[in-house]
Amino acid sequence: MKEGRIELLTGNEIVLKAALQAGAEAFFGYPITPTTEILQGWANAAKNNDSLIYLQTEDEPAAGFGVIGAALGGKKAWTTTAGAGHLLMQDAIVVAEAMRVPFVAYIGQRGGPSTGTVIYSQQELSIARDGGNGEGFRVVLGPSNLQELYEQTINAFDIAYKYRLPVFVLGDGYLSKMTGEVEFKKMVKISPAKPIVQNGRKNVNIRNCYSLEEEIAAVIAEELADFRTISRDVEKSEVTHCSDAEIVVFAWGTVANAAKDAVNKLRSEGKKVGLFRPVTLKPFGATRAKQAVKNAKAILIAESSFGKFGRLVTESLFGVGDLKVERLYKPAEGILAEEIEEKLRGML
Amino acid sequence: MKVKILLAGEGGQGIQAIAKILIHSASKSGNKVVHLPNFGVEQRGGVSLAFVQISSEDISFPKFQEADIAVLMAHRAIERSKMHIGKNTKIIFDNNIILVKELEDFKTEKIAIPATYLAKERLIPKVFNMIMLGALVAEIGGFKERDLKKEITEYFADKIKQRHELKHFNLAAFELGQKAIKKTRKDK
Repeated sequence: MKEGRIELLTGNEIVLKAALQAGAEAFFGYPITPTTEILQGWANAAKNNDSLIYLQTEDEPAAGFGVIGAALGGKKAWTTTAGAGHLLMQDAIVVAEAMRVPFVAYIGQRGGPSTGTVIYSQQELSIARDGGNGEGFRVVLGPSNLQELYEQTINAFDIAYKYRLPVFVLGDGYLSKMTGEVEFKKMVKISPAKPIVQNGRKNVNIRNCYSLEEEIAAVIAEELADFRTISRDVEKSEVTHCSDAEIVVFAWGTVANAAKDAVNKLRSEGKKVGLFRPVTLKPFGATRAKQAVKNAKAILIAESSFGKFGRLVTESLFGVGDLKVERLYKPAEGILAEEIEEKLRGML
Repeated sequence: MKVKILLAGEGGQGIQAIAKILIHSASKSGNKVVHLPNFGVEQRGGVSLAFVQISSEDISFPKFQEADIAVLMAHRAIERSKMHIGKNTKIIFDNNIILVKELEDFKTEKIAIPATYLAKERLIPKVFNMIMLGALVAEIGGFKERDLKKEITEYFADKIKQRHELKHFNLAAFELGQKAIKKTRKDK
């Protein structure tokens, strides 16, 4: 891949290229629309390259444990999934959390509940952030366009292998299936994969099973402290026109792109509206969110789900005082700039 | 150039092929492009939509409310396209599949292309989507015929390798589409 080269690709093709550029060596997966082309693309790449490991597993839990096994052995491993497959994979994700194993997954959200649609949604936010029976010590990135999809996929490998934890790139069916331009960047240095369970002749035992309440509580407390430190390093939000905004839109992923169009259009008419968009959905930039609404009288939460993001926003803004909250919730359906604009005009 | 196009038909008709050829050609001549396919779980037989945007400026969102041009190629596609057809949307439709009567709710410009008939009578039925592409490209304007022909040949390269005459059929269909829309315009 040449630096600065612009190519016309689908989101799935971009994710695959980014993973290869980030040095991914092993892929375990089970096909599911809208991410299947990534698995197919990796299988084709592995056919012509002996250093790439590929296994189509019997289901998503097995794919997740495959990633863990390879990562424990020192390979840069990853997977992709969506919808019900994402849910099934959560057991492996909490094992990765418990054992502090690097884990990278691209998720192409599709409509739920259950098999739902193969098209699009933002309904997998809560399971990406907190799925499983752990405390959700993972990083969730929310790309809003194809360029970010490329950059964040590479970044996901860096974060996962630097801090040893699960990292999700939480995309969606639109991002996966759409075709558009992407500019390839010069490769930055990415944290390498190292063998975890075997270091030279020394064997390392990692636990995920404890006898005592106090024992596990102490481990969780330590993980929590660690996660807070990591959070300070990786947390990222995009704040647009918020300093004097009377209304601040809260949106993430592709919806944030539509929201940006709406906000820019109203700004050009002199209307005081702004946009807060979390780039990392976990950790969520609550402090910056509070700053963003400093002069606001109202907020508008727009998401393709019924309040999964909204609850996160309102919880983060708790204590901010008199703030009217409007919602544009469209579960499993895209939201257009025009719809956000109309809603904002009604609020102004 | 700035145009929003909705392509709508049945899965298997080659709706997404039209979109892919169009955006690759437009991109090579310096435009920003975005294509979003939209279909159900079926490999074939469901309604297949393609949202295509071509612009000299950045395109932020892959979907849009109102199309500038809607290309309709199946009965069931009409219902699904309704919400994207406004008073300024031009409709290009295959009048061997869709009756003018079916479109009477839309008070907007409608251009009939007998693509199914032309493909069947003069070429092979399968290439009727390239007839629609030809008509669409002529309607948008600003494309170079040579660029598009190159794109069509590249897109079908694997199929052409197996059956050489497919190159001729697809390119001839593309030309036929361009002529057909000019004829329709003249007859009006």
